[in-house]
Amino acid sequence: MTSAKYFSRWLREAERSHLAGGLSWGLLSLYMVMTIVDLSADTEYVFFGLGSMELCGLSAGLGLAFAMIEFFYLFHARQQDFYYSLPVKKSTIFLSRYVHGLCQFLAPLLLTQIVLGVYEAVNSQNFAACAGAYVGRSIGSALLVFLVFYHTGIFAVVIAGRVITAVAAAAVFLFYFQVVIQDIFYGYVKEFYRHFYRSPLLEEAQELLVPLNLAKRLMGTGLYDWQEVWEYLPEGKAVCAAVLWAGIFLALSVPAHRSRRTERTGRAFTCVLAERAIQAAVSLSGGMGLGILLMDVTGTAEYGAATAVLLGVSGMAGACGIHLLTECLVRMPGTAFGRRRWQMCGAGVCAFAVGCIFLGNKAGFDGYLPERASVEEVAVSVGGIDMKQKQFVRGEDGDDSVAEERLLWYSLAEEESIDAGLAWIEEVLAGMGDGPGADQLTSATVCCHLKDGSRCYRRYPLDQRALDSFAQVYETKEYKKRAYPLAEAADLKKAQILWTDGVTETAVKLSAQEKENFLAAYKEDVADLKMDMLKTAFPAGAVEITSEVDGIYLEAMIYPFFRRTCRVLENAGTDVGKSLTDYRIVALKVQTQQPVPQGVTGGVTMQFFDEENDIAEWSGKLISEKLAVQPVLCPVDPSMRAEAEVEEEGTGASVVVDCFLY
Amino acid sequence: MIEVQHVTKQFDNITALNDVTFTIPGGSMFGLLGTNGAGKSTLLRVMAGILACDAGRILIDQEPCGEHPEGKEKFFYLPDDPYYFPNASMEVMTGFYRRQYTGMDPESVAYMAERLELDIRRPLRTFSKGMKRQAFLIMALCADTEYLLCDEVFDGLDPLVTEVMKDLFRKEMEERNLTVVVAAHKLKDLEEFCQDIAILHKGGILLAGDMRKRAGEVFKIQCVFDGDGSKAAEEELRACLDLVRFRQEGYFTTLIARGAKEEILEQIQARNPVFCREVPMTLQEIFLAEMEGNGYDVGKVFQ
Repeated sequence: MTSAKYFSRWLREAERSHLAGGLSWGLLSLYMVMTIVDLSADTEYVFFGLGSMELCGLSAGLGLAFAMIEFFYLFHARQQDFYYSLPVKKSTIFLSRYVHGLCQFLAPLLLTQIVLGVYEAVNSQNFAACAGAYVGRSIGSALLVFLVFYHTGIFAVVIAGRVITAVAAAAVFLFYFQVVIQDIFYGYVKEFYRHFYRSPLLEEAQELLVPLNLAKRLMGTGLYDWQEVWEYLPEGKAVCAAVLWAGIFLALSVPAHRSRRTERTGRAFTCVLAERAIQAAVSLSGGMGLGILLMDVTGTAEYGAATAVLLGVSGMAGACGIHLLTECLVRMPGTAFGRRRWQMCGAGVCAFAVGCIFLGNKAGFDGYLPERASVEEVAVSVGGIDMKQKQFVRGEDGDDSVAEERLLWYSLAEEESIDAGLAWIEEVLAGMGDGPGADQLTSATVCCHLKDGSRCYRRYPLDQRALDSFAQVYETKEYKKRAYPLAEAADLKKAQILWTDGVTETAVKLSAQEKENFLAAYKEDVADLKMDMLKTAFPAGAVEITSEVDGIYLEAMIYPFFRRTCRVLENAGTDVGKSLTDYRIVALKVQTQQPVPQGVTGGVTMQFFDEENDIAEWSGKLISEKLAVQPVLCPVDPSMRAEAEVEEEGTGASVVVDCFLY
Repeated sequence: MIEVQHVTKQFDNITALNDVTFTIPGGSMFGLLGTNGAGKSTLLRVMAGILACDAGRILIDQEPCGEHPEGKEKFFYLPDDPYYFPNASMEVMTGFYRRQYTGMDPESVAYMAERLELDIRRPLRTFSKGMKRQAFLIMALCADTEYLLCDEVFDGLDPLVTEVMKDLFRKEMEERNLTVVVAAHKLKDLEEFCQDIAILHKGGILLAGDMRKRAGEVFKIQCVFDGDGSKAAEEELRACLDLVRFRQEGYFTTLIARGAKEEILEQIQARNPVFCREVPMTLQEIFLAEMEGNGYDVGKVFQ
């Protein structure tokens, strides 16, 4: 009862500073008004709770700000003397401040979310059904985000003796794992592991161990579809991670506050243990970071004594440098400069050890292939096979979205395909030299879905031999199903078929029976297809199958060696042998890209032709951009592009066709 | 009664308090004297529960001085530069203290403030240093606590206000057995109204207790020797008496000696002084005698 009396008394005293209340009510009210204005214009892509980056930022920002505001007295020696001399426990002051901060966030959050929920429910019938659940989940998620940042901030304030060190400590807590994972661990794996593509473990760690990323995940800020957002429920592991973050920092703050010595106010840190831990962690990252930097600069990332020495020297130098730098900041005047030598050496040795662990695992990582029994699916994306030239170039330039899409599509689950896939990877690994392959043609991105739910990604450079051996995968039934989806169509009776030769489109008039024949012919051609055949010719054209009744839209390349299919089309009056060369080209623009040093623009030359002789010289080398779908097997010249102005027969209309040259 | 038992407090490698032991009797005015950095403020902060001591303990009425609010309600700590809320007036601070100290009497605050011509509704930030000190002294006295711990309480007050405040202290002590612990770095702030004084020096306690009782064995004699007799008398007296101080100013020689009064006077008379009489000793002289006797240079204390 006595404690309750003192607590309620001090909770009222915490009200004395209106800064926290003003900030919270002010900002959240402003957010509510602005969101109402946005909602009045658009209810489908404006979200006031989950899905709102603004609410996520406000919750995180207010969490940090409240930690500083409510516990600012911990930086103020006079204020502490005043409070601690009064008949109240230190813990009562701490708890009352904590509860005050929490209430100051929760009350305006509840009010604004309810008002916004009611407003949107009135304006949107779709939303009304899920309004209650959405508002509840939004409040819960925003509160979790707030708590993660509030508790992190409180711990930073409790262990620090000055505002600047509290801010620095909070920054370390919030961004340490971001730096270590993003810049150091990824740096190591990219430097050492030749076959690294992505690591689900590191990606997950980056999501869960970095509060900002965790906050975004909790709030579902990456979602854009209104239905998805309204029904969004944060994942269990994200919620657990947030609860752990908030719980650990609160659990650390309580004893840290209890043992906090008033007389240490004004120093860099009030808790020696925390000071040492932060110093060691920062020194360690400094040692590891310098290792990455030096390897990047020197290009030394192979097995051998040189790399080990580099890791050792950089680890020690980086750790010692950062340690001494932090010593300058936290050391009290009169304290020996060379103190904590063992800690400094320990950080250096750890930095070296971490580098060595990554280096030592090089062979294991690059040569790793999961056991056959543990593999559930194998997804393969070979750059330059069955993809447009532009996509291939994007992939080569580091855009992984093409490979990601194809990994989803080309995920093979049948026994035969998995066997073929793993056997092919084994062959690739066996045929691979140690150094970077000068004769690399393309690369293959592979994802093995294991039975335990984990995924294992690798990216292998492919030379001609490795590429040719991919035929064993390409020619499996399952891979062909993915590469030629038309072959899986059951019925085309109600579909419309369009033929395009890369210049013009014409409707293919087929009866129901002819359509069945067409589909059967296509299936047979695909079944007989060998990968090597793709090297022999560009597609003669493509068919577009559309059926609004069945909801089908398919595009299928028709190669000249799809003889059965071509015959059906020809019987229907389609000229499958007609190519760009057979049209009248009235003008031609050829663009040539010369290689230029990195960072330099230019090197593009343009040539314009309108004379028949000149055009005739080029026309035999032109292939419509639509039909250049085998950049590796049947390549075009990537440095040249052309625009051909073609005159349509009969109508006399001009069509501009984007082309490549081969 | 406050019992300070073997209290040690270190700030890193600096020992602020080193095995300090003494007792502050209840209902008394106790002075803590020492130079800057002697450990007075640290000792008061330890007594107030702001700082935790590394060793030893402090008992207030036989109870350990800890974090218990009930125990802390017994005393009021007044630092040399008290904290107040931004824009708070005496009235606001009194209201705040009233919620902390159940015995706080706002009417007494208003009465005393009026007596000292302080406006209780004016923000404290607009008060001068002396006015702030008066304001907080008033609030401290009106908190109705059993103990009052004051740090450099009269520093910055003009003589008139100092006297008024001292009167208030005396009155409160008489009325409700208040125990006041006052830290000061000048003896003159304490000597008039502190019965007991402890001297802190470099974190250690040099002396503690009722200094006037100690004066019982130390005497100050003023005399005049004929011609150059002063120098000869000094040598002779040093040989036969426990002479603490021997100083000549003009014709007058003042000496302080320990021992039996009759013997001291007899030895002086034996040197045929023209004039000789005992004069009462100030507290400063008693300290001087005590501390110089112990070999301490405490000149700064008596500045």
